[in-house]
Amino acid sequence: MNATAVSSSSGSSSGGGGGGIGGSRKGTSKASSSAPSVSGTGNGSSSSTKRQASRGAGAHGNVHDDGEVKASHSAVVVMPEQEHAHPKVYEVYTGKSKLWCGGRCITGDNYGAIIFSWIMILLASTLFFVFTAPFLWRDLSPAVVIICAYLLYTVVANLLWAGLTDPGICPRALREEGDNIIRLPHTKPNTRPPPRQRTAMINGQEVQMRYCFTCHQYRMPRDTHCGVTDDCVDTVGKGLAKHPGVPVVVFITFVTFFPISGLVTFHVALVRSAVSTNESLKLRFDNVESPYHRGHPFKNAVYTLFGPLRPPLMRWRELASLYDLMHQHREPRRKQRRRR
Amino acid sequence: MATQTSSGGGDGSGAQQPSPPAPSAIFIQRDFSKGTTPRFATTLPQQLASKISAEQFAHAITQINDVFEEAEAPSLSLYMTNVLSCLTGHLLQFCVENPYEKRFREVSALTEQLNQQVFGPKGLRMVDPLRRGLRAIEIQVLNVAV
Repeated sequence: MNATAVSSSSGSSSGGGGGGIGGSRKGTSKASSSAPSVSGTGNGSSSSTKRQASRGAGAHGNVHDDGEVKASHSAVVVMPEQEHAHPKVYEVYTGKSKLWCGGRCITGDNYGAIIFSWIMILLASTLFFVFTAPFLWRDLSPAVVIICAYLLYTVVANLLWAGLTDPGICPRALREEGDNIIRLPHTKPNTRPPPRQRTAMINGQEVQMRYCFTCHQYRMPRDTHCGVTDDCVDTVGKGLAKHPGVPVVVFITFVTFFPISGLVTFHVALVRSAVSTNESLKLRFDNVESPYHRGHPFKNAVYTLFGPLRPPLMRWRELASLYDLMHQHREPRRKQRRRR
Repeated sequence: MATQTSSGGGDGSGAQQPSPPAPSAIFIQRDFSKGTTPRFATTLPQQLASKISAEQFAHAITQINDVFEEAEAPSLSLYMTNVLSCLTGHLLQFCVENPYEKRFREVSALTEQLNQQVFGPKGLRMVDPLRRGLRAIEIQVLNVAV
């Protein structure tokens, strides 16, 4: 797992992105034997570039080989930890999403829309429950009010769920992983841009995967780079918000029928034909059947609405060192932007 | 751990360095031929040909693929859970763990096991695919004489 941390032989706990938790500790302990650990942390960026260079070029970086091996036996030695010696994934995250509650909740960085939604929902429901509900309860039936209360609850729960959970962010890759994937055996790394596209055959149908210069990976077939999060995200998991049925039905009942009905029809059609909203807007499968079709519209719908839900791939609350994300906040972002 | 890895001369003998240097890590790419369920290519990359037999490699990767296939297979109990979860406004998610998480742990355990039994003895090390966001399985070439 720690090829990266290792090939650089830097052994710095925060610079060595590849290190697993054990690896980074070992790194630190090794640093204590060969160099002060402070310097190891201090020049994290330089060591990571060194790492990129040495690893990418497949060069000889194993100066400290013996030391490393020895260090792995004395893994128990842990240096006194500096602040953020072992940051969590959400702490080194470089996208634009905002993380809250120690990585449990995630939002975009623009709150206008969500605040507007909340005001509309709460305003409408307050008015309803203050002025209309008492009469309905008395003159028609308490059941009506109870059902409305339940619907309001599901609206609130779904909006919270949709607004605060991971949209399906794909972890960014190390620069050298991207290089490794796209590099031909004889080329040097970083000498030319990777091919922009790669074709995947999905159930006999060609689907283009574009290379993402921010995330250093070919976007998976149903992913797209999202401007809000500045990450590649899965457009199926929540893009066509998983389990959209409930909020949509609720909205029909709750707000008005007409503005929503078009959206409902549109999304029912999408769910039936196994196309995500994003794919549909980009006319990906305009004249052909979606390669993700499961054979029957009903099957598509049930699988999309209630099928298995892949957990977030960003393990927000785990140690960043495990996920090779440590170096990322050190990479100058402006440079990345320009490349894109 | 893999602290023995080096970026060059992956096969542990410095004498072979002049020949095309083996990269320290090889990335096994996703295989999308059957959809977006995580599957990884079972063909043995050339760089590993000297290390491990194609059958052994394919068998190892297939084991991982099978876990993911199971994870994304539709099942009645899963549907029922998710319908209930919907009806309770996702409150159920706080009580019942997403079965997919269990599969993730299964994959991690399987990776460990494969490392001990298959890859480790050959001087290779497989990285838990989750560590790379299910993009690829990284196979590291350890610079250790076995």
